[in-house]
Amino acid sequence: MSDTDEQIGKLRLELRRGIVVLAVLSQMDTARYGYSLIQQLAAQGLDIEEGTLYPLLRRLEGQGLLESEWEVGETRPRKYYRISPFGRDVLVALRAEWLETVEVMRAILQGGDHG
Amino acid sequence: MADLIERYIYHVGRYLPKKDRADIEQELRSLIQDQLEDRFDSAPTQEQIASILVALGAPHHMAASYHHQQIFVGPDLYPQMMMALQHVWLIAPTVVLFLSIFGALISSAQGEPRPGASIVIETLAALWQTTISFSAVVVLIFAVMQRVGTAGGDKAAFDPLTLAEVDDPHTVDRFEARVGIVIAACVTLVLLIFLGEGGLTLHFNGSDPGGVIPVPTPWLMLLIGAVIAMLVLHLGVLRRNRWNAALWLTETCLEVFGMICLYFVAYEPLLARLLADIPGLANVPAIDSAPEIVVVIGALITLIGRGSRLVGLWRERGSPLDPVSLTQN
Repeated sequence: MSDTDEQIGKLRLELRRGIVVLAVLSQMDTARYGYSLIQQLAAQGLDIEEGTLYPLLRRLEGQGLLESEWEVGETRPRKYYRISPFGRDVLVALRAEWLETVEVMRAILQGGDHG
Repeated sequence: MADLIERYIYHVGRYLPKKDRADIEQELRSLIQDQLEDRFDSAPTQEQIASILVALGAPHHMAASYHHQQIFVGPDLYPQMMMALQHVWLIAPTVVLFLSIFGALISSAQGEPRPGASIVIETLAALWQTTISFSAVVVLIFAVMQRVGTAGGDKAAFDPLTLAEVDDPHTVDRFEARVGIVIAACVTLVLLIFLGEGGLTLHFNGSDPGGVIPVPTPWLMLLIGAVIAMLVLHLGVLRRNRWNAALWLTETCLEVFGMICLYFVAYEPLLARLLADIPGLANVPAIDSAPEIVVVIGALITLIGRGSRLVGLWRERGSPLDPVSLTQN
């Protein structure tokens, strides 16, 4: 891997770090377990490493943004997560913030292109 | 199949906070099974399982991701730092408490008894100050290690197939062994000071109370010998990276012998001083036998706690040496 690729890789990671929370929260109206969420996000074009997502789910639960429940009626016990009422409020605010940021960045980058 | 997964989960669990451990382990087990079912056939090979585990990352790295706050150090060192801090939080207050009682007894031996309230307040202040100071030193050391790049091991270097067996009696906990070496070195230094002064003293703490509680020199020398032997033994085990029955038995004997030495070097002289200072204590039932009781209980706990592993090592003696013992510690 060249230095450029390596640097881009690092910056991409930094760029995505902030949006992962938003992406996860946006998918949690339906109760999901860790691996199903990874597949769901991947199907929409966002790949997240398992080692990143599983701890993140617990962290969001600790922050009160998600609620969880063990489901034992399946082939094996699975822990399902779902967005909490507090998480829903946060998601609304974050989504508005994100959309506004996207617009601002688009304007900045398009301005940069023409400059 | 399950063996490799269980080994991975076991090693992740070693670095997890106790209150969350069972839940995280259960969830991780379920998530790994989900991935295996989705990606491979019903009976995945060891290599296929290993590929899943590599994607999750080295156990200590994975466990570190579950810690909510990682201040100053990154995931490679964070679990080790927390383990070091747990030792500090156990050892520092114990030593301070011991030194406070010891200091009070020595002051009394010099005919300068201090008020009880003053001793309690000073002890509480010292407990707080010492614990905070040593914690700060540990965090600083790990922060420096992080800064200079001592933290090693990226995902590419992690090979799940080399993970040690769960509860393998030959396993060397390298972190515990290193902590043991540091503690043994400090204890040796303190005991050598006692030897030079002819007994228990606080000359080395800077406040220089000047009093000495005499102890039998031969037993003090034997205790020093036992501690040094344990230090050497731990160095050897670290280098060998594997326990065997003989080494484990030797360490067990040294621990029990050390307790017997402590009876003569610490428990008995300190009790004698305590009884001289507080004659009312003599009315406490079995107070005269307290040192013997402490030694017997300590020896029993040691023998019972270490016995099962000794049996495991004894049963497996002569088995071919497994070079892939714990490199993941």
